[in-house]
Amino acid sequence: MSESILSTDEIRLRLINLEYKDLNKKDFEKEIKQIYLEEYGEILPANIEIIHSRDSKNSEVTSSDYNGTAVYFHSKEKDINELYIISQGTQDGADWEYNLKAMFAGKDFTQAKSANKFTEEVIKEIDNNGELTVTGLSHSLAHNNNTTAHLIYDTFDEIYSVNGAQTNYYQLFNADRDFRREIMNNFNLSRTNPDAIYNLDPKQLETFAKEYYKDKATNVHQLISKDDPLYAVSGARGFFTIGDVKYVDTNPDLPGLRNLMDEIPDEVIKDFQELAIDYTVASKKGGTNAAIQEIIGVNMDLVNEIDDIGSAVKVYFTKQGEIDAMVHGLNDKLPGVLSRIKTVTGNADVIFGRLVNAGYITEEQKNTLVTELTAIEVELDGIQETVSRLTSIRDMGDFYAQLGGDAAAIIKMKRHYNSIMESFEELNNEDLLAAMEQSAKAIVYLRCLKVCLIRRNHILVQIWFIRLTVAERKFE
Amino acid sequence: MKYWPAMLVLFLAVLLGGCQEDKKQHVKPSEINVENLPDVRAFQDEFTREFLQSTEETREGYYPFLSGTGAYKMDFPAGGIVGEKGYALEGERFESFRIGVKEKQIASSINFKYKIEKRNNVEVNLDMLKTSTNKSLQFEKLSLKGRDIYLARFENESGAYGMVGYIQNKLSTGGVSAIYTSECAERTKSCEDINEINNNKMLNWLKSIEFVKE
Repeated sequence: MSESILSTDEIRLRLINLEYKDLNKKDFEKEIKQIYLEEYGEILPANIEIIHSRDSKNSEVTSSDYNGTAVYFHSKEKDINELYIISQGTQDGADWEYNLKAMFAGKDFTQAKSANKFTEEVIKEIDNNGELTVTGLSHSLAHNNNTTAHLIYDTFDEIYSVNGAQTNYYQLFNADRDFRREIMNNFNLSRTNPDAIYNLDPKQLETFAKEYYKDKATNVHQLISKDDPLYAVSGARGFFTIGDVKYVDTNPDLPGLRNLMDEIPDEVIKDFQELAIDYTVASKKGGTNAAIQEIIGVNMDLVNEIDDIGSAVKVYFTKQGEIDAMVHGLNDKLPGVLSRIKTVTGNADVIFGRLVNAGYITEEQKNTLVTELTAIEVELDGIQETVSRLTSIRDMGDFYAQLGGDAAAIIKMKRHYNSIMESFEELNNEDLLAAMEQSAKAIVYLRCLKVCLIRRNHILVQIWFIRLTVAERKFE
Repeated sequence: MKYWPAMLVLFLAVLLGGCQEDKKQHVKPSEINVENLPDVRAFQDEFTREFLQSTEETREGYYPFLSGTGAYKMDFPAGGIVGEKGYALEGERFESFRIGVKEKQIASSINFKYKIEKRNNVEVNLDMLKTSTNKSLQFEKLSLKGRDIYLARFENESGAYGMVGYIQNKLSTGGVSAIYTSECAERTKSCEDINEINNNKMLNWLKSIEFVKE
């Protein structure tokens, strides 16, 4: 077979970019012809057919967030018969965050299924009778969709991606039956433990997954910018990079946001992000009490039953199991939360100052946040001290000492809790919550996409820089 | 006329008695002290407990389970646990999880997935199940109250076997898919009988899935 019609990185990137413009079929076609002319200096030697996934009759395609466009180049005289599936991944902010999180844990693969279904549908529809090549083009999350589909269903002949979210072996474990069976056998996993896969050594799993899919990986081609945040997280547990990868050293010079990222240490951003997400998620599930129990590990309904030493003793006798559970919960959760809060308060001016500058929160909101977070930190410190004293008393094994210790500790905790509640109430006003959510979202974006405030600009900018860098290299 | 106060008391007693009865039924297992819960795997697991609605069996060895979306309920086996790390929930739109069941000689793993799904999508969903299980599955349709159930049995080369099910809500949107895989722990002759029993268990479990009305 002769060389494919889209033979360079540049033209493939420009097509991927086109997908984000939401063009109608006619304009899409026009743009492709224009791009071809610009890139090759020739008129496109083939007919084009465009099919959008949103026009699909197949509900499996339209019901998920999957978005893609099929571009079919064909010409009998020139012996051209090529289908390109440009997958877009999710665009909507909230869904995007969900999908990224689900992907981290490998829980969801509906979009990969949709990518495969859409491709199958298009192949049927164009009803070609020659030798058709099917190529997947993708950026960001869509690389995960396309490649996962490819690994499970053999959807494509080739895949070309730019700055992709990598494939994930937890996700494939759930999606690919054969892969799952191999893992179950190889690592001797028990069917009765639904979480068994998560207890395996990630390094071993990664090696196993790479080896298992090595044949299909030869058809995957990736272009990755070292500045891309998805590249930064590709080392996280679960992800494995396959195919031949060209790393490009881009250097986007976007002042405000880029500086924002540079000035805030990554660890700090991460801590803040986790706190904000934990709080938002937990409070949505069950209100502030649930949020606090989730984050700090204090069972607030239990603490609320206590007013004085008498009721403390009563609770102690009647709810021994719950108190034990709570002390354990505190021991597990508190140190982590405390250190996260400390990083955030310790860098409060930088973080919140920047968020003010970037317009996510107002100066006033910043002050409330800083004051209340600091107050929470002080109270948590108090709780931690109480808990550690409590555990040492418990270790003495003297029942009465333990009883006195627990009761006193519970009363102390109750006081700390009341103060924390006041802080949370301060934090709980609508505007501030909205601002926090906005900031949390922004930070998710910043952390994962750095230069992305508006997604369409994001890909444009990235592609533009890669193009520039690739072009510059050519001249060298 | 003098009976009125007594009647009133009686009336109140009935009313209050009714209330108490009501209250008793509404205590969720997750709110009961651990030591007072049935000593079975499902209740001893904290995460699984959250989904269980009562400590009273629905039938022998099964307890009432309500999905995280609240969209469907089913019988849940005493030896089962829901995997917390693989659990995914997106509002009322999507939920997926895996259940591991430990029973005498039989180890099972069931993958559940719920999506808001229209009634006319059944064929597509069955197709997708065939694609992702790599099987030439033959589905049989059962029409039960409020739902259609499509079931197909399969067997692996490795000796594992099971059932793929798709349950579609007939009255509203919503579909549940379940891939149920079992394996007999020992390759002895006694497995044959046990597998036979287990096949019936699978069928009855999947038939117990019912959509909850809004």
